Amino acid sequence: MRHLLSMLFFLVSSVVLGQQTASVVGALSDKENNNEPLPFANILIQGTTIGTTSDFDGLYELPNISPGNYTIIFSYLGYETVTVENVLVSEGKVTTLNVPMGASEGVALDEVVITVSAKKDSETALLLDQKRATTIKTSIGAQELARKGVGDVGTAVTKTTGISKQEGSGNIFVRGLGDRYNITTLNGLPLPSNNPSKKNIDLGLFSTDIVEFIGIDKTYSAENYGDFSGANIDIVSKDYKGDGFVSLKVGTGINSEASGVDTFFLNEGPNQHGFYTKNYPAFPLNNYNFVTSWDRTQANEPINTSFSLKAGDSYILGEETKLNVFGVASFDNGYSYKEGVTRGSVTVGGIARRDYDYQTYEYNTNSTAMANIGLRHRKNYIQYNSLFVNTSAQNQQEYRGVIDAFDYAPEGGAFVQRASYERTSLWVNQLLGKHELNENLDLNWGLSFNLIENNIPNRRQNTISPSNWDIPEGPKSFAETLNGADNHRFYQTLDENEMAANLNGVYKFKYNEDIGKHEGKLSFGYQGKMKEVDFGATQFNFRITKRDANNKRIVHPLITDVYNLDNYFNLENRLAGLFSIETFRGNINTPNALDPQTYFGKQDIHAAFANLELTINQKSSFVFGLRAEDITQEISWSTSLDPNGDTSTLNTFEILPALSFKYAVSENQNLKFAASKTYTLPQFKERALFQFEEVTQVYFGNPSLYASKDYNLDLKWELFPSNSEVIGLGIFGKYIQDPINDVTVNSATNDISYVNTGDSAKAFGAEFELRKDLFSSEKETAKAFLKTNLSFGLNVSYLHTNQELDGDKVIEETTAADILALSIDFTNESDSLSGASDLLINGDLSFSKQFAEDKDLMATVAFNYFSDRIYALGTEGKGNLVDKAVATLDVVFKASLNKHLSIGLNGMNLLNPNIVRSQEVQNVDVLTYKKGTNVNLSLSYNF
Amino acid sequence: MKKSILKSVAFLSIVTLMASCSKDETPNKDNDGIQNGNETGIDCGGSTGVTCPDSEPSEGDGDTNANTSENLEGELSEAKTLDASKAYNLTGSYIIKDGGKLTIPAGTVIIATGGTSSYIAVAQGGQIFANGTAANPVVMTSGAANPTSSDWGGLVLCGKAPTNVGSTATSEVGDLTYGGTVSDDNSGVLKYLRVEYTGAAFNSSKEFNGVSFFGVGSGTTVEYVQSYNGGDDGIEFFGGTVNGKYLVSTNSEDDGIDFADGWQGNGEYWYISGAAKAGIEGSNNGDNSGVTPLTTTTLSNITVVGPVTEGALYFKEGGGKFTINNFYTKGINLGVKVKDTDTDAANRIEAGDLKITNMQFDAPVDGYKTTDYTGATQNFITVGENTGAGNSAAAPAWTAGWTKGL
Repeated sequence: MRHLLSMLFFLVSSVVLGQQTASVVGALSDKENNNEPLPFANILIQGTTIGTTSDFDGLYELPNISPGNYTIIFSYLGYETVTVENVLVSEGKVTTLNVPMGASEGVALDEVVITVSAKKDSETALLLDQKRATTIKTSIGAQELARKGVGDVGTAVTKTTGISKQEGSGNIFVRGLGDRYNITTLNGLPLPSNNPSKKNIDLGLFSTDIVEFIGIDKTYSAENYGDFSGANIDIVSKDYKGDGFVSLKVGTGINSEASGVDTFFLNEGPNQHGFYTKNYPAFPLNNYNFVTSWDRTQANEPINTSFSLKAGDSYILGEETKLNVFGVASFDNGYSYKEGVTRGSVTVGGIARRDYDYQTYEYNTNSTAMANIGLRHRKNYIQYNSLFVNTSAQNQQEYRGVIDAFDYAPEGGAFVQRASYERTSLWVNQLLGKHELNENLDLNWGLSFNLIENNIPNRRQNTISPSNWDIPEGPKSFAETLNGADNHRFYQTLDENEMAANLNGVYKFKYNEDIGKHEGKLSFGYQGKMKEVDFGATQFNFRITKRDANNKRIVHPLITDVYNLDNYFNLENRLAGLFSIETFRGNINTPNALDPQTYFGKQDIHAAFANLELTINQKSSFVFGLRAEDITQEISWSTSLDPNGDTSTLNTFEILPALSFKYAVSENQNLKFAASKTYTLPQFKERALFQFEEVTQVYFGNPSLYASKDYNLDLKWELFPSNSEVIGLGIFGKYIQDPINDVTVNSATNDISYVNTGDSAKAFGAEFELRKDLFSSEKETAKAFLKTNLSFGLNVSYLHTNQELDGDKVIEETTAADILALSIDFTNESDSLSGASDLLINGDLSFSKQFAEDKDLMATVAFNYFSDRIYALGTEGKGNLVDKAVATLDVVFKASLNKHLSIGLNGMNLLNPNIVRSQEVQNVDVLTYKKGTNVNLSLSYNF
Repeated sequence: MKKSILKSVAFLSIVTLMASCSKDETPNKDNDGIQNGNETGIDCGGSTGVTCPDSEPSEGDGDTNANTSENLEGELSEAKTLDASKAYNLTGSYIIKDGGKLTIPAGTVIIATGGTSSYIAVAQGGQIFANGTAANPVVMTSGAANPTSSDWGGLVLCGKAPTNVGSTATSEVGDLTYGGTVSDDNSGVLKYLRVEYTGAAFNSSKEFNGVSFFGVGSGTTVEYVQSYNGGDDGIEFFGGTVNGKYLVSTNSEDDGIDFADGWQGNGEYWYISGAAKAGIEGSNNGDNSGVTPLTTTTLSNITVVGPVTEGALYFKEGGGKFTINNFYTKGINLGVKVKDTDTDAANRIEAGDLKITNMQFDAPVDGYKTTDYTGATQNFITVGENTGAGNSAAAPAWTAGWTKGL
């Protein structure tokens, strides 16, 4: 109740709104001057103050007007005023009005051309794109994201066919193909990853505020990088052309799990806004100089908030020059809470060696700022995008139970806590240019420079077990601590920078006068990306001293309050010799003890491509492309075990063909086919012969790892019953030669490495999509057409994947390479791809009704389901770790109250199912929790 | 309109400014009566500029004479013989590769100064010959002024003998391969070798043992080896077929002597004292406790001096086939520990695969148990007096001259 009250208070004391999506655009031409563009003419909607002026190209736009029926007046000094009546403006559509104007003779109204098209971020526009394209692609636009209440790009892509997201990791699986098979770009230029072990950036970092639409290309085109087999996910950032606007949105909400706890706890140090950083103190190995507390602190009430401000405007700078600017700034934060069991190292006999009940308090922030500036001069367009995203994830994790059933607090009673804070800052800068050099030749180019910084400052962990292991409920003590690293502070920095360049020419030929279009298009060009990664980590281990200088066992105090460990790890006890401080390189006597463990990676890819797009006849068109890529990867490292380090290099050259074919069966029906060859590169870390530690798991690279070859085949039939409806049915097949998996190799400590696990993996499946208007009606009033619409959307994908798991191949190939022989005993001889659910379903039912010109209501119920999928392959007789099927249900309401104000109410994850990861064969749940239902209320205000 | 845009630009700059703020934790360095900063005493030493009245300079043994000292680091792929008159500093990892052969004459002292990276590893195909004598053992120790456990790594041997973790496997250290099918593989000789203050942590879950034998074959000789004040186990066998004779584990912070993963060697004359957990830990396989080949051993003449917290013997993770004769213990609370959930270990016991004859419980802790095994078969231990490693609880004669701290 208290939460509800504070939520209401917050809402009432804020101002807010909603952005309408209809607009009128057009071109004015000068009949007195050979129909050249007519700039500086006035355009006004009769009976309103809405108006604008045409630009140098004679272009104008009346954005964000309410749907309705208008009379629009065009006037220019000395010219005859033109009045166009009955201009119908509908939600989500762009009405185009091209008007010729003259000085004396009147303009015949039939010279005025009115067409209605859709805005790029609307669902209809994207559907139209899909219909026209020769290639097979899907997009999801801002409009659909708003309708489904989606706040980030990671969730957004899961609303499209065949894509699911792994719990906890942010990994996206496309048709069962995980991180290494996908590519993420922003406006066609590559994005660096925020995680050293991943290829793709976490899409959850991107707020949908910056998105115009997200293009998801599941078939390969030679214009894209060839390290691909799942999807190329291109985030197209918002671009603005038109009159100035400002819109403000604020929201608040709660998570049912977070608000269900009596007191919410977090770490000492990090602040609310998520811009915190902390270095370790000077002289960390001397005495005890750390200042931040080991203990949890009480946090604020777990109430989520969000804020976003968007603004855009256009300026006329000179005779033939126009400048567009758009900016968005947003901040949101969220609290969540998980509890359940977590188990690890479950043996073949079914004993969970690690077995905890746990609680995790989490607090996340996202601050996003984006600005883009577009400059048009004649037939040249240059755009600069700058995007800054800062995210932080803070959590307080507490585990109670058995650390190791054979070795460490075997009867339970141990307490392990981890205070973690991770911050990622991404700064993307892009300069894009488009030039129409002449009738037949366009030149496009792009340059980007991206920086990403990922920091884990001052992660703290404590491990304490019962003083007598046979009495788990008894008092605890550090005396029985086993490893020097059980109590530690950890500092990690990852800096990545990537420069990328695109340069391509488009030669258009075979002009067809009937349709006013070129039927042939040859694109050719260069693409390059050069990436550098710099990783460093230092961990300070607080080693519990067991014996004093006289070799006598030290008596450690009993710990009665595990939430007051500052009482133990402090200067006094350090001076008393109860513990010492060391790094993984050694203690204070080791000269380089403070050198971080590092690696430095470089990857350069240079590519040349040519792509021919040709319309054969009215029904058939094809695209054939060829691409060549030269790839160099290099990684060098220095770690505690290999302080002098080493370097590992991979060079490869790939030739990649791609073919797409489209046959228009009828006006509204297409048959599309695509085939391509691509490759899957190992991540450079995966080839480095050194141990890399991630929280609780040790990984090491395999220098004999090599690229897989991928063969992709797609066939799709699509029918567009109307502008807003589609039925699609596709089948696809993938053949991956020498696929790469990360699996547990035979070792004394269950380390994970990366190997070409078999000769082949196959994936084939069928995808079905449907968007249908169930009911649609329009009522005419004096001011507007009032629409009522009920629509239904469904996408289903069925997937069958199978890969050979061949331990002999692994031994043979790694032995032949003569660097490091590896062996793996797979539990199964063949298995599904990890991350692949057999069945994925997305469904939604949307209802919208306009009550008056500025009053409407929209309601959507969205449903998502994925079936069981493998999280990690089993080895040595242990079963696969499997994420159990999950169904989610979301409800989204939006209502516009008047011209300025709208209100939104979302209920996400209403079913709040148990999330379960389980080890098959042994049938042991290794992770359980509930995500909680999120209820959010928002207000938007359009100025 | 334009104002709002200005505002959003201002917000952008604030965001950028906030992004660049950061602060170090700066310790106090004033005269506050406590030892802080880099002070080495109370308000003295370090950057305070005040000399400590009673400070001991900790400049180590160092390179006092360039001719008599040498740094060991890197890889060895040929034969090399050390010189006992020289001081050897182990400044980093020293890996004896396939074809490499390191001979260490009696009396040689190797001083580890590189922290965790100071370790000696023998890869498959490499050999080490530590040719100490009772009077002049080979010593590997810490270079610290006040040495403690975990000052440096330890000694690691990787051979080609079978294990039960797969046809080959990767060792915890240095990404070396171990295991294979060569039962009589020969990694050299360890004789009269003392390894001190080992056990640095090299990742969040693992520390070096004093001496680790990964898949080491029976052609290797291991006799008269002591681990002294090791931060993890004293000596551990991961599979392999090598025998261990005259082994001493003193004050290990985990188990005294540990064998696992299908070790098929025998042990004689083991003297274990001061082990924090189990005296001896014998297991089959931690992931798949029933897997073959089973850890199979015959041990005789063993001394475990308590206290121990996980038994004189912890029959663990499926155990294996153990025959133990003359097993002397003193001051312990538990003879043989068997985890109640370890069904494979129980199966072995019920199958008669664990046989201990002549086990002595000298001066046990009040309320001690011979075993906490609760299964049907309880007669796998027969109690009887013996002298264990030779001299009951006291240091046996064969430890004279080359061991430390007994």
